[in-house]
Amino acid sequence: MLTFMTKQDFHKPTTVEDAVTLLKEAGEDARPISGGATLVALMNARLVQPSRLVSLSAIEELTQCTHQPDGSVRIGAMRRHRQTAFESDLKAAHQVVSGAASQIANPPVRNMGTIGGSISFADPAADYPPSLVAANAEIEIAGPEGRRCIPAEDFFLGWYETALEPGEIVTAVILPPVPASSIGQYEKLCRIAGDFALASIAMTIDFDASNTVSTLRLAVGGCGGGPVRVEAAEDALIGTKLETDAIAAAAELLVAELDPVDDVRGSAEYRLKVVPRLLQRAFNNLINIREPAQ
Amino acid sequence: MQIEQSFTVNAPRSRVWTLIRDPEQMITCVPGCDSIEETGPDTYKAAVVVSVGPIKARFSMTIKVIEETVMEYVRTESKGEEGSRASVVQAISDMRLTDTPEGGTEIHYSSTVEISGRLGRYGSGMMKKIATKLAAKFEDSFRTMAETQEEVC
Repeated sequence: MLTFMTKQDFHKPTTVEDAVTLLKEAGEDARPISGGATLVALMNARLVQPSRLVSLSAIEELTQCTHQPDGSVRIGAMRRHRQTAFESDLKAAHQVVSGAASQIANPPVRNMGTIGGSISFADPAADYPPSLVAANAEIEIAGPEGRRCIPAEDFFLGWYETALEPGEIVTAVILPPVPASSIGQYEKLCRIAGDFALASIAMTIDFDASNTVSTLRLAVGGCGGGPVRVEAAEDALIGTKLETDAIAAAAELLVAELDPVDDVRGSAEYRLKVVPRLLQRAFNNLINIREPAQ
Repeated sequence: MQIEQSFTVNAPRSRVWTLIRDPEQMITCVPGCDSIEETGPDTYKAAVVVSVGPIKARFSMTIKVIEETVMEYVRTESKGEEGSRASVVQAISDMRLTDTPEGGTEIHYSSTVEISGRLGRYGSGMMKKIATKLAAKFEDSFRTMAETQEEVC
């Protein structure tokens, strides 16, 4: 029985400005709806009953992914996970984001869910948050006061909380330009295919001519309220050739900052044990990307 | 779920006690609480909103002081329901005050909380993290209130 749906006030504006106005009018119980992968499930379970739904699906600018002249890539908030997974504009280090997208849940969810919706929900074990932190992405937000951009690192505040103010929506994710030699890698550990991550590691990395790590950004998912980035761990690896000892030392610094909880997927203790191995595995798999089998 | 924490404020114990037993002052420090009324001797009714992600639960709480030693200790029993929904929260909370050598007050509190219904769907591990985050907000507001309004009272 979907009787409660009939009372819903449903809107489908064609501009971001109209969407923001419609949300503001209806107050704090109004919800924007993008792919509906999460919100519809929550509504079906009667966990959430929005007073108004503002669909973002007819806003053209949100559905575009554009490669900017400066080498940055702007992914509209309504881009489906499947589109991002196969996005030809995402090259080199940007592939940390397409890699994450390709590992989200299952095909029906990837056909439905959007990047804007996923990051606004901000599940602590979701795949996009660590990948966007590793990619040093900016989140573009629109609200009653206009638009603003904030770094992904400042967007995820932990345990489903984001920097979005009431009435604001995510309009795009902007990935900064990256060198063609850089690599993006997303490594996920989950109990069964399609599950949320027990733990995940996202990284963007580049090497100099002597095969020494020149730049590195690392973020861990599923082991805290949001993605965890530890600069000291990155510094411990920059300037190395990724020797096993260096990776182990970095893993120790990383693990010290994690804040996992026990849940149905695994205990906090298990997660802390698994992250160093996952880190090692992520670096091992880099070899396959750098030296593909002939 | 068990929560236990202590914090210190730079204010004498008498002032801290006065604030703790003044519901109007206390609600300004409790995150998500916007109204309170006294319904009987040592019994209060409060409205508290708890948001976890997209789920926003509005609890109507009954708080009863079941034991107290003036200036030292207070134990309360809280029960909350969320309208017609099946969300229920119950808690027994203790708060104990001690002097610090610097002339301030240490507030030690512990709470046994049970949550069922919509918010009970989140694992207890995560709820504890969220509760700790809310507790930190309370501590900050309470400390600011206790330390800055002293001259006014």
